[in-house]
Amino acid sequence: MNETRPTELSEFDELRRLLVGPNIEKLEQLAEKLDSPEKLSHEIGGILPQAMKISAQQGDRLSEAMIPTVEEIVRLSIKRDINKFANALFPVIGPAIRKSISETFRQMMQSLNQVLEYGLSWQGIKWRLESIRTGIPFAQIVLLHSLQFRVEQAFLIHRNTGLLLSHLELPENQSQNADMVSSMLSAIGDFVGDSFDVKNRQALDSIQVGDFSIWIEQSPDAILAVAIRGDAPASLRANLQQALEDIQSQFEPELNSFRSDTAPFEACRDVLQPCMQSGYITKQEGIPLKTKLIWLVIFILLAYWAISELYLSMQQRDYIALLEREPGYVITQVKYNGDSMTIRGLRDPLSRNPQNYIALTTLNTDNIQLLFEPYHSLDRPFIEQRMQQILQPPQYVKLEIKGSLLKISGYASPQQVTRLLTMAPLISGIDQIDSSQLSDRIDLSELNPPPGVKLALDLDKGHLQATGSALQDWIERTRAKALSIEGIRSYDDSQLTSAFDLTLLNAPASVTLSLQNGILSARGQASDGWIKTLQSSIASYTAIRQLDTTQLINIDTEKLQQQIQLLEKEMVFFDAAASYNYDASDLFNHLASLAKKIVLLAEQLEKPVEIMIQGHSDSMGNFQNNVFLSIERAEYVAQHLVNSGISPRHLQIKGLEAPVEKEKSLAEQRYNRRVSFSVSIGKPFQN
Amino acid sequence: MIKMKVCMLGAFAVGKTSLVQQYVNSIFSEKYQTTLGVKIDKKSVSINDQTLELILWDLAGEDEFIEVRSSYLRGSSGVILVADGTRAETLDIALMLKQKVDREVGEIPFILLVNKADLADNWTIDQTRLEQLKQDGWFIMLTSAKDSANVEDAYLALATKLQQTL
Ligand SMILES: Nc1nc2c(ncn2[C@@H]2O[C@H](COP(=O)(O)OP(=O)(O)OP(=O)(O)O)[C@@H](O)[C@H]2O)c(=O)[nH]1
Ligand SMILES: [Mg+2]
Repeated sequence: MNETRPTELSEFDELRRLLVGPNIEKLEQLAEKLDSPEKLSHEIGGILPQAMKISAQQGDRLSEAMIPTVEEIVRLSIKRDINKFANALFPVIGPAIRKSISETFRQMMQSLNQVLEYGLSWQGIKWRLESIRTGIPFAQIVLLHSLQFRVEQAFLIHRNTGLLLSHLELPENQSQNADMVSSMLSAIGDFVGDSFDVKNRQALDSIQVGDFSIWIEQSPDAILAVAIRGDAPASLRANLQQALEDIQSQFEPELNSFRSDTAPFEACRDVLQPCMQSGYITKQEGIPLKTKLIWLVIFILLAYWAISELYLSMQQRDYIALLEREPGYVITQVKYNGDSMTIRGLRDPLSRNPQNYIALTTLNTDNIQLLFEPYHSLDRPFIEQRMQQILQPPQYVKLEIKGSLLKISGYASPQQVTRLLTMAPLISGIDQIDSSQLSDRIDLSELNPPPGVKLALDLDKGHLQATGSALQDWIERTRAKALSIEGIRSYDDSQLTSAFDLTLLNAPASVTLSLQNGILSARGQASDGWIKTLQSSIASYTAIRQLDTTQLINIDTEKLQQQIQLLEKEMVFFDAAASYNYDASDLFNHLASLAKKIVLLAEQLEKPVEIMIQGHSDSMGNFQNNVFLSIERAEYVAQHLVNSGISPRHLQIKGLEAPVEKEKSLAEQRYNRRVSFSVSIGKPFQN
Repeated sequence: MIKMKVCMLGAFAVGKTSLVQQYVNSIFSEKYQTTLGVKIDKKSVSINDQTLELILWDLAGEDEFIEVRSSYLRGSSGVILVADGTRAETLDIALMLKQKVDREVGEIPFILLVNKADLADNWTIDQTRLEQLKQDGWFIMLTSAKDSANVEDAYLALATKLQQTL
């Protein structure tokens, strides 16, 4: 604006008014607007929205230009009064935080699931670490983690006043703020309802904070809110609705008239109780099969390793225990070196071989080194064993140890007794010997053996042997008695022959009997009757198996033979006819007596007997006559004998059989005119 | 159990929160932290052998940006109007809020607390106005959340009024 003098002003103004005329007022108004910031602002304010709109349509330049300013504005605004800004942002912050929290929670759940998926025991370690870190008992951590959800509190809120009508909570988390919480919940509900202009206040049906969520159900007069830890199933919502509906219908009048007294709502607790639900993660699903298998394999390998280590050490321990228990072993030191071990100690040579034990275990023999020094164990079994080994006592010698006293009892041969008594003191562990019960003889006198018997006693075996022969009676008596004699364990009389009492056979004095090896020999002479009795009776004597009578002469047979010989020597001489010229009565009596004796004896011997009476003739005369004459002469003699009482059935008659050679003398002729005798015993003559 | 909702109403920064804090927790802070939305506290009072549970709704103060939400008033049994003795205009807001309560909830027991009595030097509220209100039957008390003057008595006075409605 040019500077002008005041005097010139009016003229100039006049001129300008003339020139510019009607526009001048507008110009002045414009100038006024430009000069006055207030007016200018007013003008710009009128066009600024339009200008910005156009500018925004043309590109980002305006926005970009404004960024620093806006940022500065925000910064200053916050600096000046943070509350105003907070108030302005409050409606958006809630949902934003909620969204962010739920997102974070979702991700957290996911990663937790992954952790569960990839670590079986890892989870356990983590929980334990968490427990250490937080100071919360491990069990509770596990509970919290394995808890799928748990309704921890339930609030029944009067919708109009926001006052708490009824409240349920878990015993472990008692809170004092239930009244405040319920009012706050109703306030939040109102706030949400107001702020977002939703038709009904169902809009706010849950609030989620971290692990916690609050589910809200509303009825015309009441609000049911439950505080849940974890992820509750949708079914819970239905339960809540049901409970609330029940309450609404049951307590309608009370709810309507409620102003401040909560007493009537005590009864609601029962309806609310079913809402206090909880659920646990029972099964961890979703671990991939591969992971499971890998874990399984690792587990099996570890288990195998652990078990085999355990098994090895158990076996080693068992083996050592076995040796320790084994008498005659003293283990002084065991050194383990990995799989192998070295065992040092003392070992009685009488103890069992340790190799036997290794065979009992499946331990590798190469891995066990046994270094044992010999020693004499004073364990009783070892003293006993050693004693047995050194003394080798006869079977029936009894060795008894009492402390260090050795008692030897029983019977043994003198040599054995001497040996036992010299050796016994040499056994280690034995100081004293009692041999009072040890004997080297047995008195057999009570057996009273007959002279033919020899008794042999083996004291070491307790065996008595009888040889020779004895009467059966003695044999049997001894057999019954022998074993009752102390010290005799066995008795053998198989070599003893049973002697037979020959007097039983009642032999005549002329007979000598001897029995040997079951053969009875009879010697001498005996009557046929006795011989017969003997023969028939021997069968009843077991001691006699056979009878030898070759040396026995039967007296009766002998007599018979003598008589026969006598008879057969006799001859009756005739003259030329069938008569004789001498007194023959003595001869015939003699013949008859002989014949009678023969028949009698034969009958006694039960043998058939025939006496052949043979007639002879000389060569003189006619042969036919001579035959006749010979028969006649025989018959003559036979008649005599029959007359003397001889039965004709014992007699046979025979005439000439062959011609007689011509006699050289009269004597010969006379001799030929005779009758002679022959006797057949046992079998009749053949006619 | 008798429970009653009581709203703290007044302009911003008049000391509503401070009064509740003093009453409930016996603490006071010089620092001003404005209440967002609502803050709820609880206190039991015994009058004539009866226990009343006061659920105190400390509402955000009214100012040119924030208006007291009528939904928060719903279901109230009583109201504590708070004005700041050092800011005369807060009495107007209190009166205005009283009308709002009448509109939304109806006639319920209320008291008016003129707070920050400890700052008597900066007092701007006209005593005659208060006298006028008293004439109209208002129960008015001068309180200080800072030195706890009349705080206990103020709540007791309201509780007594509330008990009479039972
Ligand atoms: N000297 C003094 N200061 C007080 C008193 N009461 C509150 N104040 C202060 O006043 C300020 C506001 O107090 P608040 O209680 O937050 O006020 P309010 O009414 O809750 O405010 P909004 O929540 O924003 O509505 C704080 O700095 C307090 O320290 C009082 O009695 N005396
Ligand atoms: Mg406050």
